[in-house]
Amino acid sequence: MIRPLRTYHFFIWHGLAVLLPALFCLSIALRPDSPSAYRKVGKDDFSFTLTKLSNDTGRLTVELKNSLKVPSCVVYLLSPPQNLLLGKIDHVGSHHFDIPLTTKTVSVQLYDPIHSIEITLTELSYQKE
Amino acid sequence: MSASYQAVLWNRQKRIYDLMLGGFVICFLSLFSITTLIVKPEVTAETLIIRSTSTLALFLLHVILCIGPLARLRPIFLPLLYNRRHLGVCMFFVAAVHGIFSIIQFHALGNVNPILSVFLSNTHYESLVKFPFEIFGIVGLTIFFLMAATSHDFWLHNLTPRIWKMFHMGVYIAYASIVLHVLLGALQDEISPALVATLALGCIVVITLHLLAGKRERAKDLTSIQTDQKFVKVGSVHDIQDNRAKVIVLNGERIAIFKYDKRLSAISNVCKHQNGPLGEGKIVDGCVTCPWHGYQYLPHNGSSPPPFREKVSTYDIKVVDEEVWINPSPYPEGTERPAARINLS
Repeated sequence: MIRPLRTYHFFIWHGLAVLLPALFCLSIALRPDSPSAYRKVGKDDFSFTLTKLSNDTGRLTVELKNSLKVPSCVVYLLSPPQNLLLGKIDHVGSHHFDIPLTTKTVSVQLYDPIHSIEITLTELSYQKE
Repeated sequence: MSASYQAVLWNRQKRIYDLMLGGFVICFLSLFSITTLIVKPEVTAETLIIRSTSTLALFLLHVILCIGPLARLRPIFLPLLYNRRHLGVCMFFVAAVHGIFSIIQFHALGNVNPILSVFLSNTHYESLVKFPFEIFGIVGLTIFFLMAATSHDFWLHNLTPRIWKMFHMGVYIAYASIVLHVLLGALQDEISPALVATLALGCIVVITLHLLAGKRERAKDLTSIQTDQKFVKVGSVHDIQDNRAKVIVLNGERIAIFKYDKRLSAISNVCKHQNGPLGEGKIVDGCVTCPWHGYQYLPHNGSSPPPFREKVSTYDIKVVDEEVWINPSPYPEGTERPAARINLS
C-alpha cells in the first residue's frame, strides 16, 4: 500500500474505533424493549385467582389490568413432566381457564412465545367457591 | 498475472480456495438451518433463508476484514489474501439473497413499490433506536455490489491501483453500515445477550487488528530517513537473507533491497497490481515475487518478464566494505540498473 492510502486507512480505522463502540453502546442501552422491561410487565399487570369448582375441576382466573407490552402472552399450567397450555391473554379484563384439580397448589406461567421469555411465574392455592 | 483479461484466471490455488469456500458456505447454511429447526421448529422457510444468509454474510464480512491486517501482522495468513476477491464476491451474493428475501418478505405485500416501501414504511429518522435500519443494509449492499462489479483486474488496471484501492476502501463504510443495520434491526428485537456479545466480539477483533496493523505500518514510516545526500548507508549485507529483501524508508518512500546470487538490487516496495509489499516477497525463478498475488519483477530492472508489462522504479545501489549504500532518487519505472556485487572477505 502506498503512503497516502496507509494514512487514509489509519484515520478511517481510528474514526471507526471511536464511532462504532459509541453507537453500539447507545443502541443497546436505548433499546425500548430490553429484557428487563419485559420482565417488569409481569406482576403488577396481572392478578390471579384459583377456585375449586368441583372435586376434580378448578378454575384459574387471570385478570389483565393494563394493555399488554409484549406481542403475545400464553398461560401454562406447570405440571411436570408435561406442562399444560391453557390459552392466551389478549385483552384487558378477566380470562377464565378450567384446570384439572390434582394438587393443592399449582404453578402458573405467563409466557411470551415470540420472544421466548417468561413474563411471570406464580404459585397459587385454591380458594373455596 | 496475465497479459490479457479473462473472467477468472483459474489455477490450482484458486480452485482449492473456492472449493473450500463453497464447502464452508454449504456447511454453514446447513448447520444453521438444522439448529434453527431444532430450537424453533415453527420457523418458516423464508425466515430461515433470511436469517441464515444474514448470519453467514456477516461472518464472511468479518473474515474478509480480518485477512488484510492478519496478513500484515503474520505472513502465515497470506494464502487467505491470495483469493480474497472471490471471498468478497461470494459474501456479496449471500448478502444479496438476504436483502432480496427480506424485501419480498417484509415489503412486497403492500400496495407500495417494495423498494420505495423500504424507505417510506418507517420514517423515524429522528430516533436512534427506531431509525429505519433497512437503509443501512441497502447502503452496505450497494457498496458490496459496486465492489463486486469492479473486482476484476480490468477495472484495477483502468482505474489505476491507487483509485481502485481508494474505491474499495469503501468496504469500511459498508462495514459500519452493516453493523448499524444489525444493531438497530435484529438486535432491537432479539434479546439474547449472546447475540450482542458475538457482534461486539466481531467488532472488537476487526477494529483491534486494523489498529495494530496500522500502528505497525506507521512505525515503519516513522523510521524514514530524510536525506539529500547522493548515497545513504542503510545497513550491512548480512542483514538480508538470500533471496529475500530488507525494506527501508528513504524520504518517505519504501524501497526493497533484494539479495540474490551474491548480488543486491533495489526496487520500489510497491507492487503495480494492488500495491502489495514486494519486500515481503521472495525471489522465485530469478524474479521478485509479490506475496499477495504472485506478480513478478526482474530485480535488476523492475520490469515484469515478457509478455507482462508491469514496471516499478529502480534505485542505484552499491556495497562498500560489506555496507549497503542506496541512492534515494528513483529511476523511471523499468530502468535497468546494475546490481551491486557482494564480495565477502
